Amino acid sequence: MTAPIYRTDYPGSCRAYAIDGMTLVFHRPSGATHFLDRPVPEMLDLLAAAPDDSAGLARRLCASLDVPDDDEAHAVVETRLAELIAIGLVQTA
Amino acid sequence: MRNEDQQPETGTTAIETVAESQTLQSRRGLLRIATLGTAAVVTVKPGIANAAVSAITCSIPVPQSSQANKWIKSDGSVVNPNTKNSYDPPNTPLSGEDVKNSLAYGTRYSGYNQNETNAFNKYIQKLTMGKQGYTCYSSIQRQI
Repeated sequence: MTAPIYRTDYPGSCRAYAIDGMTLVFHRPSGATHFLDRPVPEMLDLLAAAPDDSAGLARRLCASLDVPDDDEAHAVVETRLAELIAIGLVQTA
Repeated sequence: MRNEDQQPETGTTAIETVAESQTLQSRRGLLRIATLGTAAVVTVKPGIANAAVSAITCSIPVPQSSQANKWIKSDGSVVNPNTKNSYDPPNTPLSGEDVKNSLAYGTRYSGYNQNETNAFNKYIQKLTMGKQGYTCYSSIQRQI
């Protein structure tokens, strides 16, 4: 089984505001509002630029934040992706 | 006098260096397992009045945008155009309010007949977590 590819309709269908180091996002299609802590907005920006699987996204995120690309980072990205799917900001296709 | 002029500069550089190394530390910290104990996503739960608004304002694309140009079969599956018993879906997402009325009272979508409406509704009822429109559908379900 191939790894699922994640995509997002952020930021096109969202209103986003930076507040105290967090990002407040109103997602129009679901009508829900979310507070996102780092590195979640960064993950969404990367997915908006190009849909990717979890490993690919983790590599790009580590490169953009200039931190080591290791197993721990991959596990964190996978968990955050699951949270984003649960609230509907990220879709698998 | 010269010394006094230089001091603030030296001080600023030192502060910047400390700030820089702290930023790097915090960036590393973001991707450590230890951070998983803290929620990175907090959803503001709408009150009852707002929940009603959210179903009116939310929308469900049929099918999801990554499958644009596909048609919907009578059992709700996404198929290639012109497949037997399949229908050309709407170009714009269905509004949450229309979907709610159709599911609850059997109303047809404007411009679509009963068979087409049934096919689109079956597609919506098959939505799972991770599909576009799922969060809208689940908020509608709570109101039917």
